[in-house]
Amino acid sequence: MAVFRPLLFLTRRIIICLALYAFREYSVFAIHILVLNQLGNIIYNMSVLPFAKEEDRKNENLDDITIILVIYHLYCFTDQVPDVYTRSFLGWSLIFFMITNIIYRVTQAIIVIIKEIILKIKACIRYSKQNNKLKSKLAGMIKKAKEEPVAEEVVEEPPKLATIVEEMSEESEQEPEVPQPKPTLS
Amino acid sequence: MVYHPLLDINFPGNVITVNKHLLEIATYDVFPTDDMFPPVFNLDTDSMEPLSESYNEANFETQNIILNLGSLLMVFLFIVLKFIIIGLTNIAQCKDKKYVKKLRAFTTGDLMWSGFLSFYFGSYSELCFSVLLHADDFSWGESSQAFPNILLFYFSVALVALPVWTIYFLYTRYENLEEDYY
Repeated sequence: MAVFRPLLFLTRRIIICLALYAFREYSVFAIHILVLNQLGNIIYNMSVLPFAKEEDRKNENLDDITIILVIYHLYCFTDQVPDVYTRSFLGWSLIFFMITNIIYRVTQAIIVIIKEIILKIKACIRYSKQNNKLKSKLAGMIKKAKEEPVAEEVVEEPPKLATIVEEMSEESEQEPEVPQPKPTLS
Repeated sequence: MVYHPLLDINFPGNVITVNKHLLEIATYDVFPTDDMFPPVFNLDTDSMEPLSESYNEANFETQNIILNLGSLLMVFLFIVLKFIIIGLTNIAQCKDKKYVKKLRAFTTGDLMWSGFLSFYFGSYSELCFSVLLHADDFSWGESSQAFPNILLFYFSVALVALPVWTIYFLYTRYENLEEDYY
């Protein structure tokens, strides 16, 4: 069931779009659909647990809670609450919940980015240290090689082709071929 | 969360102000497309009207799909341009040339997963609203409406095809979903 999360993601968006478009003149009905949609998502997340990491699960639950709170505020902005000051106060409350959620998520993203940057810097420093060690080792080896000159090997020159031919011709003059006796019929 | 201003209820002034800024961030509307697109696509913005006052406040000032998509259309055209570059270089058979190789490496980096799919999943709600609003005010009358209407048909098919493709993908590759390739 956890693999169907992308499908649920798309379905939820279709439902939200259709509700907001089709019931734009019947706001309370549209809000009801938004609540049901969100509750369905919460039930799916709680029962199926589609996220492997605990952190992702917490973030998703936080988002769900924020959206439910936002939708509650939407009920308060209908004609059920006529007082202007109360509506303004509820407006600030809605902004607080939304901004808190956004700040929390953005801060998390920034922390992840900073951690990655620190890890990359550390890896670079480690790499440069290893490089320096290798360089110093190589320099030592080159110094040693310069200090102890290698004895020159005596390399015999390969015999030239003309000399080989001459030798061959001399050998052929010295040992003439002996004709083999032909087999005769008795 | 950011689309609730579309509801036809009386929001307090502080919520309207904050929502307007949040919508701009959520819909990736970073380029000044409202000034750029009308002269480019020959759109008459004076005769365009929003669906309702709440839609007008939520940055859907018209029902035209091009103006409602805004910066998303530029991202989409950029992805299409990448495909055109691949196609042209394949047709011209100049894949192995030095500069063509560099251009292909720059443009063709992971087109499927972080290209088209990322675009559709990220902007699904925005696309849905743009398609619904344009379909509500659909007309063949003017020649300037041709490109928006083609976009409407294309995105309508894409919006239906994406969930269908998702079901097909999950059904056929269910057992191998944990592989690194995906």
